[in-house]
Amino acid sequence: MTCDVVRDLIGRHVRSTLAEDERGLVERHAATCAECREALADARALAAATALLPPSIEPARDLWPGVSARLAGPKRRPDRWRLAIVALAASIALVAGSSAVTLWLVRAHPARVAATTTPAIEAGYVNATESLMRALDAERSHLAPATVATLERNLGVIDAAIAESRAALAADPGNRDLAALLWASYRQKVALLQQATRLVERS
Amino acid sequence: MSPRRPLARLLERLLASLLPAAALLPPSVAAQHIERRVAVDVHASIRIFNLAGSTRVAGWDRDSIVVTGTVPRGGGTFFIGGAGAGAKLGVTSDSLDAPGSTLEVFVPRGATVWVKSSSADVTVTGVEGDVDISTVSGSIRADGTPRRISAEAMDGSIDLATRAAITRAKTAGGSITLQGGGGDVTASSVSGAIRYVAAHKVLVGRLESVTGSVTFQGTVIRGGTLNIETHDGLVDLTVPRDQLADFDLTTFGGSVTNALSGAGPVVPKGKPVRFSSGAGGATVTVRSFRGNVRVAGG
Repeated sequence: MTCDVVRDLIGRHVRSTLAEDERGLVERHAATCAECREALADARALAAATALLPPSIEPARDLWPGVSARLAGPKRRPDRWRLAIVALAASIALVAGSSAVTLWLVRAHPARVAATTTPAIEAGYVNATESLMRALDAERSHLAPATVATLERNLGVIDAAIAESRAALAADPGNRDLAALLWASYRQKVALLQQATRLVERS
Repeated sequence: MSPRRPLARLLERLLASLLPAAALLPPSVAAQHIERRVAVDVHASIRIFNLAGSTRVAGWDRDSIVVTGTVPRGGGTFFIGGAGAGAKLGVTSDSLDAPGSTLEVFVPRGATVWVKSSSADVTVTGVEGDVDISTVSGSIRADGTPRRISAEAMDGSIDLATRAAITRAKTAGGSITLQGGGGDVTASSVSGAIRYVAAHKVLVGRLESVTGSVTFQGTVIRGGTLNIETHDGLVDLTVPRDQLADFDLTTFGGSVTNALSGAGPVVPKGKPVRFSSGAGGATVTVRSFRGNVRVAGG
């Protein structure tokens, strides 16, 4: 089985819609092919992240009249639920977009993938974390001080790891393992911010 | 004599007579004791909220919910609603500093259960539907065979002795201990340690920590995958000596010790250490920025 065929099957594999024999073929191929294994891991991470999204977000009414009224009217306090959901959806969309770009580039230019995709992927993660941070900062007062302290302490731990990995990757830009470690730290940051956002929703 | 003195004496007598009576009031004035029962379907969806104190949920072979417990004075208000396909219960409070309530909830074994808390410790046992537990600083414990389990804490520890098709455990500052596993397992921590003692063969395992250590003991099924990533946490793997697997171990600042072959530690400085204990087995991948990696046979 070729890498192209496996990559076509990966999406259905992580959604558990493949037949048992096809599933086995993908797993066996991924066990011997580092790039497909990486693609499979990325797809699983993406599936896990998107699983956190609500099944659907239904607007309660036609939004434009309300939006236009608010643009014209006095400013009011943002709605926490909508803010959080929009931030969450935006962050996942950004991560999903960067993962899709990665998968496409892996297929098109496997030899250069690590070095050429790093800025695009990192930009996606940075945008996602910034969106979540903005949403969280606006509602931070709804979290208990101890929770904020825990959040900030662990964000500091992640940011230090990101800084170290990024510096090492800058010195060795084609290193896939360093890139994977950097993305792992970013995934942790996105997940932690999503978790904090959910706490705000519940508060 | 002042005209106010008889009135003062009268008030004193009234107060003196009321105080002993107040002492004899039933304790329910001070604390709310709960004992409620609701009929639900055997696969009902049940949401439980209790911010502080403790919540214990147990699956049983009856089509009803029974709640017992205590809400202390100032601890909020107990509520319960719904029936049939779904029910919601818990303690509401306007204050995060409210004294903690104790709830014990029996639910149909096949129910889908959500438990949310802030500082309350949560225990779930014997539930076979989906289980979703979320807390901020409380601890989470669960056992049994849920179909799927998700446990999430900000600063609390997570201790799962469950066997589920899908297991997700996530904490920022707490530790994670998994003693059942099997199936598809993801455990993620920022600064807490992860310890996974797999009582059942692992199909897919993904263990991630930034500064916490990661310990794995168990067997990865043929064709299965185990991926571990840390920034500077120690990684300690113990697999059976007859485990067939391709190992791909990378650390940039730490050392790799392959005790399976008796080799001493090497410092790979970012170059992957690859070895195989037999073709056609599992795939074990470890990446660490600075952590030491040790693989041993158990």
